[in-house]
Amino acid sequence: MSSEDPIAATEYVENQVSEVPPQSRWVPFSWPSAWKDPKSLDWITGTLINCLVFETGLPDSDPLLQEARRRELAIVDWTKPESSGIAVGEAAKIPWNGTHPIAAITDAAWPGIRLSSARNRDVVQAGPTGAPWIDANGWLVQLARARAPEKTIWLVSRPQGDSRDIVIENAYQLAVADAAAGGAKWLVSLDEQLARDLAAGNEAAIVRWRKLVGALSFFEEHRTWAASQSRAVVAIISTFSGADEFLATEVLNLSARRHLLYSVLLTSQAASADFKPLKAIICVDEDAPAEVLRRKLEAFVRAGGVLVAPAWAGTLSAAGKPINSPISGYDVRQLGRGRVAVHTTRWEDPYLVAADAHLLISHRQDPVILFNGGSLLAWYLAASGEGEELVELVQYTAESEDQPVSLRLRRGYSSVKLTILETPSAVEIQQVKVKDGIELALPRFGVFAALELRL
Amino acid sequence: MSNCITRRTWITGAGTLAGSLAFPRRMFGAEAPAAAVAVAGCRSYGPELVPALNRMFNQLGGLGRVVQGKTVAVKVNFTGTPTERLGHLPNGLTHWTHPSVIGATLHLMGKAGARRIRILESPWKTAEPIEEIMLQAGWEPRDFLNAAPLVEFENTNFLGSGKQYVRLVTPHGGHVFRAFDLNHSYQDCDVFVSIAKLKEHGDAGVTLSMKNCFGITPCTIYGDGAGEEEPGLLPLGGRGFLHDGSRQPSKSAPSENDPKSPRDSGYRVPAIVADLVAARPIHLAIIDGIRTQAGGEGPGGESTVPVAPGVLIAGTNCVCTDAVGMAVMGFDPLSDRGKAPFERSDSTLRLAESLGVGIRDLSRIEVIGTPLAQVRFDFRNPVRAPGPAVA
Repeated sequence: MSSEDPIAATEYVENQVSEVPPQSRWVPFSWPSAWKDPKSLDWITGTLINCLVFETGLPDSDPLLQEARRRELAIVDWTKPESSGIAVGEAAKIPWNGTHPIAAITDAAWPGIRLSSARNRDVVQAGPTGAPWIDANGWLVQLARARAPEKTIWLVSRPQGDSRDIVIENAYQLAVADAAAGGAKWLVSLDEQLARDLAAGNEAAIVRWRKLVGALSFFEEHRTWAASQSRAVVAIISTFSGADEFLATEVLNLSARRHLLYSVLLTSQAASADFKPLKAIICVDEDAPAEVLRRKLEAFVRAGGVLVAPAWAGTLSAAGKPINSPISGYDVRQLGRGRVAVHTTRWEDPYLVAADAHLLISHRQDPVILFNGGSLLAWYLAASGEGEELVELVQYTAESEDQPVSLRLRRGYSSVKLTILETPSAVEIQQVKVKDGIELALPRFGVFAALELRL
Repeated sequence: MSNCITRRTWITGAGTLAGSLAFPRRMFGAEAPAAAVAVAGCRSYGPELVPALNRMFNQLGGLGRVVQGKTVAVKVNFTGTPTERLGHLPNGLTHWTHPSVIGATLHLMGKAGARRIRILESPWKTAEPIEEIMLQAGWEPRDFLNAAPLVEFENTNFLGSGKQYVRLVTPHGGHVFRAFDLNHSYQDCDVFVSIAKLKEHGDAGVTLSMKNCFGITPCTIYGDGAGEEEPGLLPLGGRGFLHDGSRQPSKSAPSENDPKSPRDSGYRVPAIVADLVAARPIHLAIIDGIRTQAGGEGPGGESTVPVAPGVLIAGTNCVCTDAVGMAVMGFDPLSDRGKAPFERSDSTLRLAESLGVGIRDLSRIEVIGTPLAQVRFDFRNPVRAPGPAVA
C-alpha cells in the first residue's frame, strides 16, 4: 500500500455501508491475492464495492478478513461459493433452476475487439463480415436472464496479465459496461500488474482504478436501466442446450454483432410467451418443437409474422404458396398474411444462420439502424417508466469510432436524452425527421452511451 | 463483348488469345472516339434535379435514342458498407451516388421508353440483395421500383440469378486482364449506364464513371476470399488483390496477362479499370457532383470533407465524360503519374484512351450546357459544404 491516501485521491460516490448488503445489491470484487494488508481495503472505501471474493479463502483469523468483516463487507469464499448463495460455472453447466440467487458465469469473454496477436497489436482480427471481431457478453447475459430472470447474473472474465486484453485504456470500464448494459454485474478483477501498480501508488494505475469504480457508480445510479425489457421484434427460440447449444448460442452471439436485435425464448417458455410484439421468429433447433408450440408458430405466421426455421417447418409451410427467396437454400412460402422460410438442408454455420435470417426477415424490420457503429453493440429496450424506451450502446474499441455515430429510429419521440459514461448528465438530442422515422447525430463517446426516448 | 463460354472452351481457346498479348501497350489512342459531354449546375437534389437531367439528356441527343425498347443496366456506386458515413451525413451526400439522381434517371429512362431497367452493384464483401443494402443505408427500395415501369435489382458480386458467369473480352488484350468473368447482368443488357460520384480515389486519382466499374468484378472470383479453382459461392473479402496483385483470380477465369507486372496499386487499379470499361463499354456515363466529398473515395481519413460542387455531368463516352469531370474538379485531364490527382497512380483516362475507349483531350471534347468555368470546384482546396449534420 502506498503512503498516498487513496481515498483522498478519489472522489467516488459515497456509499456508507451500515450493514452487509443483500445479495442482489452486491458489487463484487475479486480481491487481488497480492493485497494482504488490511489497509488495502481503503482502496474500496467510498466506492460501491461491497462484496469481496477471495479466490482461495482465508482463515478466520486473517487480519484482512477480520477488517473486511468489521467494515461490514460481504465475504465470498470462491472455493465454496454456494455457501454464499452463488452458483458458479460455465453457462451451460449452471443449475439454472436451483435456488442460488446469484449465477456467476465463468465462461464469459473478456470484452473488446480481438487483436490478431500480441506481437502485432495494431492488427484487428476481422469477423466473417469483415467487421472487427467483437468479444462481448450481451448474448450470454440475455440467455441467462431468459433462463433465470429472478437471479442476479455475475460475469467472471479476467484480464490476463500483459496480454492484449488490457492494452485498451478503457478496458475496465468496458468490462463493467458490457455486463451492466444487459443487466448483469462484472466480478471486478484486476490484472496483477494493475494491482501491484495501485499498491505502489502509480498515478496511471490510480486513473484506471478511478475509471473503473466510476463506471460502477454510473451504472448503479442508472440501475433501473438494468431491469428494462427487450423491445426487439425478433425472437430466437431454442433449448440452447445439448446438441443445439453450440449453434443456437453462436446464432445469438453473431446476430448481436450484426445488430439484429432479438429476444431470447427458451423452447420450454415459448408456448406461453406473448408473440404479439414480435414480427419474426427464428427457431434454431433441428428437432421440431411440441405440437402446441408448432400450432402457435403457425398462428403467428398466419397473422403476419415471419418464421425462419429448419426442415421440420416444411410440414407447417406445406399449405403455403411458394414465393421467391431472396437467398438460396430456403423454401419460402406465403402462409396467411405471413411467411415461412424453411432451410432445406441442415444448418451448420451459425454466421450464415444469423445472416440468412436477418435477410429473410429484412432490414426493414430493424427498429434501430446504427451508422458508423461497426465496433458497437446495441440494446433496444422498454424502460421501466410508462412510455419510455432506451437504447444502450457499448463501444468495444479503445477509442471512439473514427467517424461519429448516428442512429435511425422508426418513429419520433417527445424527447430524446443522451447520457454517456464520461459525462453522466443527460443532454437533449435533436431529432432530425427523415422518411419513416428520425435520425440522431451523436457526439463522440467512449465506452457507453444511453438514449432515453420518451414517447 | 464476348459470349458466355465454359471453362473447357476457354482452355481450348487460350492459346489463340495468348497471342493477343503480343500487342503493344499503346494501341488505339489516335483512333479513340470523342463525344459531347453535358454539364449542368444543380445546387440540390430537390425539384431542380429532374429538369436538369432531362435537359442534359436532350443535349446529348435524347435519352430515347439510347434506351427506348431496351434493357438498361445501371451500375451505381455503393462504396464500402451501407452503414459507414462521413460524419453524420447520409452516404448519398458524400461517397455514394445519391438516391435522387438514381431515381430521377430511372424516371426519365422509363419515360423515354426503356423496356426494363436493372440496378446493379457488387457491394463490399456481400451477396445481400441490393434492396437490403439500400434499407441498411436508410433508403427505400420501393422508391426505385416505382420510378419506372419495370425496375429490378441484382447484386453482381456473385453468380446472382445467372446460371453461369459471362466472359467479356478486353479489346486488344488489355493492360492487366485480357478478359473478365462477370455476373450475367453485364452481358444480358442492351445498354450499360454508369452513375458515379464526383470524387477522388487513393489508388486511382479520381473515381468517376470509369472507376465506378471496378465494382462490376464479382468477389467470388476477384475477391481476396475467392475460390482457388472455381468461383466461390459467396463473396468473401474485398478486392484487395486486384489492388496489390497478391494472388490471381479463380483459375476458372482468365489470369493476369503478366503476373510479373508491377504489384503497385497505382498501376494496377487504373489499368484494370481501363480494361473493364473496354470489355464492358459504357453507353451513358452520369456523374453526380451535386454533393460529394473531397479527399478520398470513402468516409475514412482526416482530410476527407463534405463538399457541394453543385454539378451534374453526363456523356455517352466515359473517357470524355471523366475528362470533363476532372476539369470540373480542378484537374488537368491530360495529367498523368506524378501530377495531381495522379501523384501516386497512372491515369485511368490515358490507359482507357490507349485501348481506344475514348479521348481525354478537353480541346477535342464538345462541352454542352453550363460552361466549365461556372461549375469548377477545386478539390484540392475544398470549401466544406454548409448545411445540417443530418439530412
